[in-house]
Amino acid sequence: MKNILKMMNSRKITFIGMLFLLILIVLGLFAPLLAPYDPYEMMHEERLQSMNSLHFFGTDNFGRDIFSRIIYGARTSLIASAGVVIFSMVAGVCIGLFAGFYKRLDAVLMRIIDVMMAFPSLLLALVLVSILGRGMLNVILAVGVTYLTRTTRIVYGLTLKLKEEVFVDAFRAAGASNMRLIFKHILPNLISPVIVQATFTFAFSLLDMASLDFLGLGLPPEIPSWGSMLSEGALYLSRAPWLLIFPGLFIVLTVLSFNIVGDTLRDQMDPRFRHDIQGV
Amino acid sequence: MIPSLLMVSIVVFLFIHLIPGDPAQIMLGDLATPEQVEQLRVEMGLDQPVAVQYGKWLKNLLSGDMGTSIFFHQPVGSVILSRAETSILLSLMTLFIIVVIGIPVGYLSSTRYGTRTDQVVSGLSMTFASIPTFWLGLNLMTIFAVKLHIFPTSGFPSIVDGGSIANLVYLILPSITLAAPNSALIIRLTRASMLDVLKEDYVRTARAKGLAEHLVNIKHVFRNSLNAVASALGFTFAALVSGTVVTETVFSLPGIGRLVVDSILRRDYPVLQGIILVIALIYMLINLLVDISYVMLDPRIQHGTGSTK
Repeated sequence: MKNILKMMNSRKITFIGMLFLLILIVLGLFAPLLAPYDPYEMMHEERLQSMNSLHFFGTDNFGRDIFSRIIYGARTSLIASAGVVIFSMVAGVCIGLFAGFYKRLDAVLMRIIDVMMAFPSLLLALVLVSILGRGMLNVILAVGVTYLTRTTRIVYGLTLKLKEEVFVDAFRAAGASNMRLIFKHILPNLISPVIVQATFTFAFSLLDMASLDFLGLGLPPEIPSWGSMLSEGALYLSRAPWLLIFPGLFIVLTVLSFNIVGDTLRDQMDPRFRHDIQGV
Repeated sequence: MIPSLLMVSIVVFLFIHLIPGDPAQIMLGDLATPEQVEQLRVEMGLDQPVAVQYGKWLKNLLSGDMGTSIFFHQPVGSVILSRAETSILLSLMTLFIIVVIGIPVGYLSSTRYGTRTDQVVSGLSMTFASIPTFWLGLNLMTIFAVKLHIFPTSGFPSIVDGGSIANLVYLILPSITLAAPNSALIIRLTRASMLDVLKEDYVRTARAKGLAEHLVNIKHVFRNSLNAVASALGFTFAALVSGTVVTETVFSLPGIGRLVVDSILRRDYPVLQGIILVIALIYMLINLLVDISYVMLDPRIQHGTGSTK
């Protein structure tokens, strides 16, 4: 805790980033209470209004309040990205640990991961979404699989390194079982690199899912999301630029905040592992 | 490489077979009778076991036949080729911008480590890496094409089909859009790997023997950091592919990226299958080239003695 406070003081920008994320989480959690309007309510007489005191960020082509939709969009983005992070971290850590520890599993599991990595991430996500169909859980799975491969690679590499450490030999000599070695002695050493990787995954998966929504191949259109707001707004780009500015700005600020926090965390990390994480 | 290729082909084949919807039904439309659909299924070999279908598909593939597009009624290979020009030109222009901006700026940033310049560069590159490609594209389009009329808004008339080389102007905004986040990554990577090399003993030795600072930086630091930069080109290609899908959609360019999205929306699976396969192939080839370049850039690494990853 003291370390975190000290770090905050020395890096004011990280503090600002964390503050922004905190505000975003509060907005997302209490969206129904904080949003001034219903995000689905269409007020046709108030369509395509610019920013004013009633509608802070203006209204869209159906007369829906942009500010309220952004608040609900924050909720969507945070839930979806958190889903990707949880899925890819849990699965990636498990596969990486076992493939790194057991030589026999290594050949099979890592071959599969290598094949998955032969497809660029957005392409893989696009194909998976068309297999699974549009929907929150399916998008999380599709994007999650593309990040799973990266996490697995990192955890695998780190496990290979840690396996050779003297302390692992010592515990094995003392009679620890393989499971105990993996989960009690190797896993705790991986926690900090995994947290850093999780932060970057949060940032990049948010970008990827915004792209999917923009292409019309992500979340179903009835869920308010920043990406689909932009794809609708693109039709009015010369007439109503605020439809583009605000959702985009929120994406940039959110992703930037996560990247800044990730970068700071990486600098605090064990220098032996620093090279294994590729962030921004 | 050959086993990986086979695995990739199996995965691609399975992907397309897992997508819900019967290709025969899609080809004939909603008005077809069940008998007609059944007849076409037999003609297309869809009634046979999946393994047999895969074998046939692979055999055709090896003789260069990727199937027929459901939408265009043309061989998949020629559909992809007809769209290749835009994507290749766009990627080359983008790569040019990435290399010309990314590497020198990263170099500058690391030689001025900790100064104001370094902080500004780091901040800017992190910001650019956080901007969604399509949003940047839409904004550039609004400002430079719609408002200022400096560049055309969208489309790209072919140069190969008798167009003039001046048509490249259509690709300037898209390539800037695509290059921005990727140059940011290369800047940060060049900087980080240069900073690593700067800590080495031989750099101190070079300085101690009185070598001029810029010579130390170029001959000793930059050359030895190239390895990391070369490996970055592998994932830059992946990022470019993902980026072209989005950028070509924003600027309505007739490229392969746009074709991917259209094929998914039109359920034109043979084309989708072909594109994914070709891209995976190129990606694997680039990674192989990167591995070879390791050996050329760093004589300490030799084939067969341990992996570099």
